Amino acid sequence: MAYFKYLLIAFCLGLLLFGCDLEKDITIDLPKHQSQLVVECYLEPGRKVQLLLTESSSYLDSLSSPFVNDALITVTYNNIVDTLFLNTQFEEGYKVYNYISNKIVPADFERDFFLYIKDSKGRTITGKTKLLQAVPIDTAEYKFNEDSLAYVLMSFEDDTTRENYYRLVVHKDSLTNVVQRFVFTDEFSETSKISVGTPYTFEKGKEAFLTLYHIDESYYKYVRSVDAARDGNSNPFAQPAMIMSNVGGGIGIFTGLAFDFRAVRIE
Amino acid sequence: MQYFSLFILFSLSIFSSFAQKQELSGVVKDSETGEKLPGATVFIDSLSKGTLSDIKGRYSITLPIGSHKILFSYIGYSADTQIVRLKKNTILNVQLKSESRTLEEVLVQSEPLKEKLQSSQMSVTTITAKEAKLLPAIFGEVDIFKTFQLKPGVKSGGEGASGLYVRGGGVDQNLILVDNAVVYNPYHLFGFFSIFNSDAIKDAELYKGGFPAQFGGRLSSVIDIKTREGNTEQFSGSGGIGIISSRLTLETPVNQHSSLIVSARRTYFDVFTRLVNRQNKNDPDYDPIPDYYFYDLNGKYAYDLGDRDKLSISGYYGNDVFKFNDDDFNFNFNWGNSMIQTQWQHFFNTDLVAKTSLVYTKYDYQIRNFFDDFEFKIGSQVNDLTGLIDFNYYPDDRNSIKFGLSATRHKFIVGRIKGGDSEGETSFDAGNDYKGTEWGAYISDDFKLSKAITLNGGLRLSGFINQTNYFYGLEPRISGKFSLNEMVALKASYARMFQYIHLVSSSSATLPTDIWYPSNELVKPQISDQIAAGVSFLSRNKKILITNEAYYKWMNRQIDFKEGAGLFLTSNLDDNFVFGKGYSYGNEVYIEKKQGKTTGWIGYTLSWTWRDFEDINNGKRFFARYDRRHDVSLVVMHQLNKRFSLSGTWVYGTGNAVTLPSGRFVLQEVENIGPKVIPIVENRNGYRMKPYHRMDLSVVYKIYPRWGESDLTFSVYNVYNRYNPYFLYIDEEKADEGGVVTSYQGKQVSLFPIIPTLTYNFKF
Repeated sequence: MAYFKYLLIAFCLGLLLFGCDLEKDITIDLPKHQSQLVVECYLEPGRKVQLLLTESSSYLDSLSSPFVNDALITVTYNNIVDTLFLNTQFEEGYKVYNYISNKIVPADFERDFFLYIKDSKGRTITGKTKLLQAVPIDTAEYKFNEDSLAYVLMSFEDDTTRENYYRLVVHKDSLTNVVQRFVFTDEFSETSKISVGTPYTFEKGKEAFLTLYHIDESYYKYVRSVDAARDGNSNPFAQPAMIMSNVGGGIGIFTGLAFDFRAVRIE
Repeated sequence: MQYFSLFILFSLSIFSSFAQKQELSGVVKDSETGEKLPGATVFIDSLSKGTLSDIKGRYSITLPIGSHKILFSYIGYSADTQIVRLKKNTILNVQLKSESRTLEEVLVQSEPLKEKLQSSQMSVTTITAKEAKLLPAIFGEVDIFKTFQLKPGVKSGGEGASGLYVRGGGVDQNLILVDNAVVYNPYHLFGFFSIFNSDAIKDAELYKGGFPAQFGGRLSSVIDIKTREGNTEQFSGSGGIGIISSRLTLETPVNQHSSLIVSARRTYFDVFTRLVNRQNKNDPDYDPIPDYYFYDLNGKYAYDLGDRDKLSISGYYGNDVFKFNDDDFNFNFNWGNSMIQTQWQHFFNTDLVAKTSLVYTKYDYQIRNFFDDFEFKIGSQVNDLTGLIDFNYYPDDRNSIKFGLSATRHKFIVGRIKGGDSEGETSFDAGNDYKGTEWGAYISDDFKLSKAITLNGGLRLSGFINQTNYFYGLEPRISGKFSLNEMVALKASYARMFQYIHLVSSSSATLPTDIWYPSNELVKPQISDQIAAGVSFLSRNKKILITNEAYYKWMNRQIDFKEGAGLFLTSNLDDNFVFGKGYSYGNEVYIEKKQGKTTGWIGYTLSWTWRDFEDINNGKRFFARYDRRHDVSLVVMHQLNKRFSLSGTWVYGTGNAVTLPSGRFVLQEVENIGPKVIPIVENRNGYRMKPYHRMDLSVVYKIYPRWGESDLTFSVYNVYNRYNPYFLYIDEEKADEGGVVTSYQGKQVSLFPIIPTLTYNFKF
C-alpha cells in the first residue's frame, strides 16, 4: 500500500512536469511567397453576381489590406458578357464583396458560366461552373436528452442516379452563430433517404437554422482542402494539404449556390 | 620403389589421421534456467570447422586428437571458449550465460565481435531484452524498438516515438516477426511504446540490408523477435512495478519434457484519471479525462516430443483501450494485435533440421460512437493465416544451405463504416473486404570458399494473388565477406525486396487507424533494391569492432495519399492514391565494445532520403519527413560493482523535414462567421526543425534478497531538459482588447521535459 502512495506522488510529480510550458516562440525563416489573386464567387439564381477579389501574402508579412480593387472581371453565360464593377458592400453579418454586377443570375441549370479576371499587374484568373438545383429538406425534427438539450434530425431525398455532394450549415438563433458545418457525399447512403443530425446544443426556446447546400464536386474538394490546410497548421498528425481551387491562374472558388433552408423552433 | 614407399607412407599417414580422430560431444544449456539451447554454434577456428547443437542442445563433432580451442556461442548469450585436449571420445557440457544477467556477464571471456567480423552477413544488429533493460527508458518502460533507434541507420519518427525508419524506409516497410508471426501494428499509445514486453522477449535481430532469402514481404528491414521459453528446471518469476505500468512473468516446467511461460503487462493511467474525474464530478466546468490503458499478454508452451522433435505454441494478445462515456455521448476506441503460432522442429540428423509453422495473426481497430439513438462505427482489420516450412541443411563444413516455402492467406476489411438510428430507418454502410494470397519460396547457401572468403547467395521467388490480379517477383540476395587478415574484413551485399501489401496513412504519424491494403490492378507491388559495402576492423585485443557501411537504396512504386484526400468517407481508396519513387543513401559508422566493465557503442550516420512523386509538391522531389543528415548515438554502460551499474545515452539528429505554409489568404465562405486565414503550402517538407539532442542516464541498484534478486532502476530522460521540437506551427497574435489579429508568430511545441522515473524489478 505504501508503494502505491509513492507511486501516486511520482505520478503527481509527472503531472507537474507536464504542466511545464512546452511551447515557445521561435523565429521561422519561411521561403518567399509570390502573391496570387484569390477569388470567391457564389452564383445564386435570382441575385446579382457578387465577387470578392483579394490577394495572398507571405505568412509572416505584416498585415495589410488584401483587397484587389483594380481588376477587370467578367462573368459570361449564354453569350451574355456581364462585366462586374467595383462596389465594396458589406452584407448582414460578416460578409463582404468588392465587385458586383447589375445583372441577375438566371436559373439556367444547363449551360456553363465562365469567369475571367485580370488585374493591373497582369495576373489573370479563369473559371467555369454550372448551377445545380437545390435539394429540399423533407423533415427537421428535434428531440431532448435528459439535460434538456435538443438535437435536430434533418432528412432529405437524394437522387441515387448520380453522385451528389452536400454541405450542411447549422446556425443557432442567429445567422452569424454557426454550431455545425461540414460537407458530405451520398456514396455511403444505402437508401435515397439521408438523415443528418446536429449535436445536442439547443435549449428550449432557441431556434435552429439549417441550410442544406447541394454543391458540385469541385466545391466539395475545395472546402475539404481548405479545412485540411488549416488543420495541417495546427495538428501535428495532419498531412500537409494544398488548396484545390476550381479556378486557373490563382486561388479560389467559382461555383453556384443551391440550397434549402429550414428554421426549427425548439419548444 | 621409392615412389611406392612414399605412397605407402602417405596412405598410412592418411589412415593414421583418420584413426586419430575422436568424437567430442555434449549439451549446451542456459547456465541459470537450464534451458537447452538448440542451434548453438560450436566452432573450432583453427580447423575452420563447426557444428550446431540439436533440438536438445546436444552437439557432436569429430576432431583430430590433440588440443583444440572450441568456441561455443548462441544469440543473446556470452560466448564461451574452452580448451580441450582430446585423446579419446569426450563429453563436454557447456553452460552459456545469458548476456547482461549479472556482473560477471560483461566480464566473461568471449569473442562475439570476432564472430561478427567473420560472418558474411552484414547490416544486422542483435539486441537481447537484457541489454535493453540496462539502458535508460522513458517512464521506465523498456522498449526494444527504442534501443534499435540507438543503432546507426535506424531513426525514430520524432520525440518519444517507437517507429523505426530504417535506411530511408517507412515504418510500414519493416517486416516485424514474433516467432514467425507478422505484427501489423507494433505500437501502443499512438506509437509511443512498442507492444513487446521485455520480460517475454529473448532477443531481436534487425536486418537493415543484405537480407537473408528466407525473409520477404517488406522493403526496408526485417525485425526478427524471438520470445523466451519457460524455465525447465523450476518454477520462477519476474516482474516490475513502474510509474505507468506493471508487469509479471511466471514460468515453470510442466513436466520433464515441457515448460510454460506467461507474461502480462498493463498500464494504469486510467486508475488515476478516474480518481481525478470522480473528484471533479460536481464541477460543471470540468471536462472529464477519457480513460486510456493498454495491456498485453504473452505465452509460450514448449514440448520435447522426443530426441528429434520439439513442439512449441506461443501467443500474443494485446489491446489499447480509449473510451469516453457520459450521459449523451459514448466513444470507444480499441485497437490491438492477436497472434498465435505453433511450430514443430524436426531434426532429421545433425545436418538437416526442419521447422514447420502455422501462424494466425490479426490486427484490428474499432471506433464505436453512441450518440443517443445513433450508433456510428468505423473499423478496419487484417487477418493472416500463414503456413511455412524452413529447412537448414549442413552438407559439410563449408556449406550452410537454407530453403523453404511459405504461404499466407490475407483478409482485409478496409475502412468499414456503419451508422444509423435505433430504428434502422436510415443507415449507411461503406468499406470493402479484400482477400489475397501471398507466397514465397527460397534457397540460399552460405558457402565458405576459403578461410578468407565466404559467400552467401540466395534467391527468393515471391508472388501475390488478389482476385484476377497476379504478381510475382524474383528477389536475388547476395552477400560476401573477404578477410584481409584476422582483424580486417571487407563485406558487400545486394538485395531486392518486394512488398505486396501497403499501409495507407493520411497522417504524418503512425496511427492505429492506418489501413493495410493489398496490391491490385492499380496499386502495384513496391520494389526496392539495395546495395551496401563495408569494412570491419577488430582491435588487437578483440574488444572493439569498428564497422563502416555505405548503402544506396532505390524504392519503386511508393504510395502516398493525394493532397487533401481522406482515408475515410470514400468508397474507392484507389482514387486517392498517388505513386512515385523514393531513394536513400548514406554511410554508417559503428564502433562497439562488448567486453570489460565498460561497454557500449558509438554510431554515426550520414544520410539522405528523397521522395519523388509527380502529383506531390508540383512534381519536385522532396525530403522524407524523417530525412536526417546527421545522426549520432553514444551509449555507455558501466558496471561499478556487484550492486551498482550506470548507463547513459546521448543522441543527436538533424531536425525533421516538415511542411510549413509560406503564404496565407483570406476566405470568408458562405456560412457568415467572418473571414478565416487559410495557409498556403508550396513546398512539401521544405523546412527543417532545429536539431534534436538528448541525454538519458540510468542507475541500477541490485538487491539480493533470499528469495531471488531485485533491483531499483532510477532513470532520467532528457537530463539537461532540452525542449526538443516536436511540432511547429504559426499562430495569430491578437490585440489584448478586441481580439484583433495584429501579426503572426512561429511557435515550437515540445513534448517531454526532464522526466525522472523509478522502477522496481524483481526475479525469483
